[in-house]
Amino acid sequence: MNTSLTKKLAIYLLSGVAVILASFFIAVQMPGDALDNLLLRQEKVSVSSYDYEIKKIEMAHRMGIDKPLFYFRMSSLAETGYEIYFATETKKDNYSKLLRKYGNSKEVYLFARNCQYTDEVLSGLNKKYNSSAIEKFSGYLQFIQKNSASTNMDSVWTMTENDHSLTEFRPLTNMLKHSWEKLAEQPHSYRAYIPAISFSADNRFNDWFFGGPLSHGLIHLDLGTSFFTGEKITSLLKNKIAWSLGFSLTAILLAFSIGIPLAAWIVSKKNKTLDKFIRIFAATGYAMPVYLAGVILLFLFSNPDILNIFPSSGVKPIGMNDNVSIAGKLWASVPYLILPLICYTFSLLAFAVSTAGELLQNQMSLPYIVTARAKGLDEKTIVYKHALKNVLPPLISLLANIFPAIIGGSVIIETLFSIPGMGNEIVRACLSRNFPLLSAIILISGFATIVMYALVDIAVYRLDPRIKPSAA
Amino acid sequence: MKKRFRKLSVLWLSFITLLSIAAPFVANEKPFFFDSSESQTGYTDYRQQRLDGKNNSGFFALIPYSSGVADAENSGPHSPFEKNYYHNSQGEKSVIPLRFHHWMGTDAIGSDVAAGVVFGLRHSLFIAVTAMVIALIIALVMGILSGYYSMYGIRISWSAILFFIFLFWAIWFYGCHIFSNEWRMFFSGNSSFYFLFKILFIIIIITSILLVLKRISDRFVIARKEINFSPDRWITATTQLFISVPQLILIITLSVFFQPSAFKIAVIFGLLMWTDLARIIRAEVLKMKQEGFIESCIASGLSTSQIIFRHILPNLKTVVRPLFLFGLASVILTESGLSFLGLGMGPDTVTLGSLLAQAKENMDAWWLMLFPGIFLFITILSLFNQGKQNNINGN
Repeated sequence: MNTSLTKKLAIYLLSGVAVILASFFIAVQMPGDALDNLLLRQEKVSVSSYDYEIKKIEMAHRMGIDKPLFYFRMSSLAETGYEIYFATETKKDNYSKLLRKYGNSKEVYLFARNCQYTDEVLSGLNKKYNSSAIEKFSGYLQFIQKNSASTNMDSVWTMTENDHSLTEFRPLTNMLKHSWEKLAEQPHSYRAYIPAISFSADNRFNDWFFGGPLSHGLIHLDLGTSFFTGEKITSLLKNKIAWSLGFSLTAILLAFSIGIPLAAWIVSKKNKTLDKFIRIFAATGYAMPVYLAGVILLFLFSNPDILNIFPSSGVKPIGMNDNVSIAGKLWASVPYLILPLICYTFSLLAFAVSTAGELLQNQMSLPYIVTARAKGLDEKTIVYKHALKNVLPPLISLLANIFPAIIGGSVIIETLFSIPGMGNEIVRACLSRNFPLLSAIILISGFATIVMYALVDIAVYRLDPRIKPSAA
Repeated sequence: MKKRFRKLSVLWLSFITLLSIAAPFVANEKPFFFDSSESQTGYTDYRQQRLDGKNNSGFFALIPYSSGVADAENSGPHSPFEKNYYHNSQGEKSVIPLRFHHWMGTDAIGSDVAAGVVFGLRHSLFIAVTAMVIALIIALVMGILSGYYSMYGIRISWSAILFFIFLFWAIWFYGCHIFSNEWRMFFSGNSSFYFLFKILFIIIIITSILLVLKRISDRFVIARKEINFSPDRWITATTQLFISVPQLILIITLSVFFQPSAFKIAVIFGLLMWTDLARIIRAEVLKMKQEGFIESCIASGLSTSQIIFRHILPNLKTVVRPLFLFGLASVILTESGLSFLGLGMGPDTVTLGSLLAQAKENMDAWWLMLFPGIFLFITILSLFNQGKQNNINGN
């Protein structure tokens, strides 16, 4: 091991950490109605029930969602992280405005909480009585919630006290007024502008990484559960990884085992028309995106109007018997895989042939080839025995460079032909905003890429120790 | 042969550029000119008036439909050779007299494919050019910084490092974190910009305090001690981070978090595409430094900015041009792939990718596959050709 290789591996380690952090920040995202969905499914609580918001907060607490995000939290002195308890965006907005103006976090929280409590009581009453007084009072309440940070509240309190139709709600208004007076008593508005660092060992990253109420933690190889089905993600993805890996590896092997000998053959022939043909082929492969090629293939070979040879989607016949052996299963899904493999191999083949050909051409003018020619070797032996060996290390590092593109290409192909792999799954996770699943896929594909890069670096170093892996 | 290809590709590229700039004038269902005095019905049944042959006072675009608007009379995919119907002024359904009314047929909801292709090209080119301009700016800054300072780095004192760290932190804290609500309101368009002055005021005060602190700390020897800060190492590490996640997956994920519009997608692409460009620019700057003319520039007393803007940037032109063209091609390909998956711009926006996705759903409709496919293919091919030609000329 030389030092530049170790340095490069250290950078890979750093990018591994970055991938973990990125996938964590995706995993903690939530679609707006995720909690509602969970509540409806697990607790069988109806949305209209009186204590719905309270149930929601309890649930968030149980799942550990209300914890701080990371070990360190940099915020102003006034912020406390109570925002999670406010259900709607406007309430959160009002809370943070109040914080900015008054700065005493505890009192602000109590006041905002009282407002929300009153709101809940009113919505409970509204279902039972539905009188005009309740509507009037909830109008007042909405005004208070919206404008408490910007207007003078004293006039609002006198108005509610003078209004005789609101006598029933005197206790509630008194409660609000009381908490408001406490709030306005000692404003510390400067606190909102003073930075503070808080530390807490009990946070969401800790839960996600070392295990918590939602999962056993990444360190135990548990990636959490899918939002909507409640399935374990690790067991969900096991099959998909097998499909994806098998599929792409077959395509890569096919493309490179056809492409490199083809390139060598063309270089050894020194034929101009062949050269031109291969250039056109490479340009076509570059300009023909996989989705266009796939659609054309489907149109030609899976179309009742033209040729209906291959099935258009899926990987196995519907209602296939599960008792068949593995070989039987593979045999049954062969016709399903031919079109996607052709589509995939075509795009890779153009790349393999053109790059291998270019690299070989560059080698052909080097002194050792001239020596070999002077020795009287024929062109075939020169290309196959001498040039090809020297082209191998750069070809392998090129393979690493296209590996991310391969995963990207397989996203489109798998979606197009509905192969149950990772690429198909990521599109579905994106469309349904299933963030834990999305983060798991990013983690896995990111780590696969990094490991691939590192392996290729080591392999290139082993094949040709003269090459120093540069820092870039 | 080669020369003819090159001319053809230049011609095609200028043609689609003009087409996409003039897209609202090429495909539009509203007339450019309409004599309202002759008709009582106004704009709504301009098409009938044109087809009926009377009151033909409007002047229409070449493709009299806009993209994404359903043609109610001809719902469902229609081939360009099929008969198309319309409601005439008597309220009856009759056949359109023109043979090719929908030049490239219609898609599943009956909207015009030709209009979709024109507007799809417009979206694609807009996204590609914007993204590559953003990527190029970032790559030039990063590449030149890391290439130019690769050998000796920047000498910087500890007090200056601390000053910059605290300054950036203050900009983040007072500029973004505290006023995050105001920013959100500002971007959704229902807030005043008064808070911007507040931020400016706070940051000016903080900066002056930090400057004073830096002055004071410079009295101590430890703070004056200089270290060698190498931007090269940091920038190469950053590039490494960017390529460690497959690009398409990163783009797909980011497009989930933002409400995708053309500009936002362009910004996402731009922020992800700069790494390759920066690496090659860095290598080129390193090569230039070995050629010796930069050293003679330094020796003759030119300032760093003069060297970079007068001598390095013009010399980078030959390297950057093919990379820019290849980048355009790959952005167009990836963006079309994104909308092919249904993750690009919203479902109402018609792009080349979404037309191809529709072709997959309607296998009978060959025109849905053929026309967007050909437009995409020839565009990429000519960009590729141009890039290669420039590459050969440059070297």
